[in-house]
Amino acid sequence: MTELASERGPGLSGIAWGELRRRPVFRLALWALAALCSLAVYAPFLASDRPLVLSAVHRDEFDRARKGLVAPGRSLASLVADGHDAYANRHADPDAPTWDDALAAEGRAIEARLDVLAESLDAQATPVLDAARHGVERTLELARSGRMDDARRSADVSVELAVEIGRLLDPASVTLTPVLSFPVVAALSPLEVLLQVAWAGLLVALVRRRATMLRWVALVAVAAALARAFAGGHAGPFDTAGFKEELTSGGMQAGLAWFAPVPYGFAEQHPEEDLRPPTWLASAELSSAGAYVRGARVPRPDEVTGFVPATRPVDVRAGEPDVNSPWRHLLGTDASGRDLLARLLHGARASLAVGLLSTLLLLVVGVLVGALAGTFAGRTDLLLSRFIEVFVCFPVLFLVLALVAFVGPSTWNVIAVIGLASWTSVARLARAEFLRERERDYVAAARTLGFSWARIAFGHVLPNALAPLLVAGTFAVAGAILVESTLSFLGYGVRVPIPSWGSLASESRDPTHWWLLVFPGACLFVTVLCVHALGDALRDAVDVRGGAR
Amino acid sequence: MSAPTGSTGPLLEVRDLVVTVRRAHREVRVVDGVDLAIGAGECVALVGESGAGKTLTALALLDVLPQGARASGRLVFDGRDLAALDPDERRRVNGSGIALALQEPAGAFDPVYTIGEQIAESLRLHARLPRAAAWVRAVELLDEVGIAGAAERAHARAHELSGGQRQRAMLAMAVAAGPKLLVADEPTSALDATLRVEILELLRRLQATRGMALFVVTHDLGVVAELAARVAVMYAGRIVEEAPVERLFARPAHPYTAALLRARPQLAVRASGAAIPGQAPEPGRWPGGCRFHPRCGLARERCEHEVPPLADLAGAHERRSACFFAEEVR
Repeated sequence: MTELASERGPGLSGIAWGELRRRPVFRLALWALAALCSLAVYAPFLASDRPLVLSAVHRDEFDRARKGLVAPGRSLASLVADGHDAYANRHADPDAPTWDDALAAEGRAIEARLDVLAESLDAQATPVLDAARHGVERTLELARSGRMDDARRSADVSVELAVEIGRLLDPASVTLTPVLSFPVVAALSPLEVLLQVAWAGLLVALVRRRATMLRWVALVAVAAALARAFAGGHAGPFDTAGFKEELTSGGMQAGLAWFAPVPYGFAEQHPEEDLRPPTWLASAELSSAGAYVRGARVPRPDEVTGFVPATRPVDVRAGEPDVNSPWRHLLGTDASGRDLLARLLHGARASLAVGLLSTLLLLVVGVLVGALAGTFAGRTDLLLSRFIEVFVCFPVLFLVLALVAFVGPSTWNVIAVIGLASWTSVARLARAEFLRERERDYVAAARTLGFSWARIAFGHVLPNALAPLLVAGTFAVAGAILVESTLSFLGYGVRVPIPSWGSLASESRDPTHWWLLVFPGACLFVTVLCVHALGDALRDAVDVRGGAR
Repeated sequence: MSAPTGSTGPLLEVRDLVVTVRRAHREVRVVDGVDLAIGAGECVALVGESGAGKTLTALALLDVLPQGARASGRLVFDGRDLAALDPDERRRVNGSGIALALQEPAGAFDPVYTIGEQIAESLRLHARLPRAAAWVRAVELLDEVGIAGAAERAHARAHELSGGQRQRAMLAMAVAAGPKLLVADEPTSALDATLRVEILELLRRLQATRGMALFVVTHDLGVVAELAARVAVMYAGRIVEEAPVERLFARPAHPYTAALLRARPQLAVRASGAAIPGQAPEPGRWPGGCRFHPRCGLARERCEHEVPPLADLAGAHERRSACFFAEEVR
């Protein structure tokens, strides 16, 4: 049915789309917003302290695993030597792990270390690791089945083997093979994967004008997210894996290390580079000792004591541009020496997510309340309208601040609070639309066909009233972004260290650190401008009475 | 097709239906105690001037009165007292039990959906058909009501159809869920003369093939003559005469009916009929006694004070008239 329908002339939405596409402002704003959203969605690939692709010898990690093999081996042996009853007597505390749990934990620790060793070794060296693995498995098996004498013997053999491995695999004597990994992808959460795949698919479908593709896009995105979830082991956003440090110190020897265009994490700090201006400016130039060369921040001896403020040389880590390269900190750094561009890119996520999701919430709540008031006119309408009027009496910003103070600042709380505080205008609009539409004959016809009020309200009236609601929703996005940045500016927004444009703008109020105010402010300005342009174009396109066409 | 009122009683029985409308802070009785019975498969017409309360009577049968109007009285449909049903069950009677063909087909369709989608929606709700089957059935229905190229036209929206096609599509939508009673409100008033004949033909065919009862509300005696087996004549919120159609035309038993028949333009006589003297009273400002008496040639003193009941006519089966002097009507 849908395939057949798509062969027909354009539907109402198709007509509206054609009308919109003829407007250059709309197209410009749409593409700008699409670009902004892309930056936000793919921020980890654009700014990250992890390499995108890494082929490296993990020398330090290998050494840690080698040396760390004996300790869990010994404690496994002692657990087995104790036996179940002695262990239980000593650990009478009910919270303590049981003997079986303790055995399993030691077994897992040994397994993990063997895995790390095997990863960096070529096949000829692995038989000894396999032997160790077998030894541990056999020990566990024997211990669990109660053959304690055999288990004890097996455990002793395993410990000897571990010591032997430690000696045998001295990094000086074995050659390690490089391991290929994708640290950025490994750090993504399933939700991020879902969004990234879905967004890519959406863009392709939009560009190729194939609405039927969307079903496949959704399917592929969900599959990718599920795959990511089952692969497991994704690092959290604050996991500073220290790739750059290890690569710099030589603990990790890279054959190949591709970094993101902005090779900084959003929480990665360079304290010796705090409040550095954009590095393409002459005033940002640093000497090899880390002292500013020009301008007010050049270290001068104190007139009385002759004390020269100390400077630290800048720590240029692997993958980072040179100290005075214009690319080092394109937009400068903040008070902790965090790269502003990286933080802006990641901040777009919080700002846009709050803007879009809280608008979604306020649309749902507003349309629901408006639909109820408009469908069941009379007493329900009276009650809901008065409630809305009371609600409107509270200024949105104060309401939001008070609510956030109660529930605590976090991204989700901010979304919920903004959505639940600013639904009233949409509710009033929806109510008016529903009251107008309900007088039309098709509503009466639907009632004579025995449709339920919910089906009539949401299946028939809502699609007819959708256009003005969408326009209101578009403007609400801009409003929500601004409220969020106000909250973040005041320190009640998304939780630090997650950046948002508002919190970035509040990092320094000293005009000498203008870049911390100008760039986040510009991001906000452009986004809100684009959203408003979109809303304006949408309103003109759907407004027949305005006579704009 | 004449009234087969079986032992189980009529399909729809209306007792003392009153519809009040709020007008300028006053409750106005627009329909004032209508009694009516429609048998299964029967075609009954309700005739009257505009403002007589015909349309509100029709809307009250489906419980879809406009904002501000309220109905009271007893409606028994298919053996069930509609007032006693819970709201969900009452709602489900609409469409599958009683359906309405609206006066204005242009507005009856939701402009967002294609006509096929809307007919299919009714089928999915009442017949519980899956999406694809409902679509196939919707196309069949459009074909049945005589829309050429139904499979194509099902994808059209209402504004893309001609007036006649729209009327047909609306009838298809109304009968989609197989109602036992179709209420048609002025089925031909929006159409020109040639289309009018086709639509009346279609209505007759739909009624015959589906064994459906038909309740036609009209001011057009031509429609009555074409379709109905029995007629109820309504004046000022009340039914003043009820009779099988041939006998009503042959010998009316109420002065208003007689006046209506005379007012009908007649080709054979080459005269535009005689207008009824005076004006139809406004709802709520009805004269006392017999409401027709100010315009009636037979009116006497008694008519001004006493309300004539709708009573069986002496010696005539199935005929009722609300006139004290029914015998004298010419």
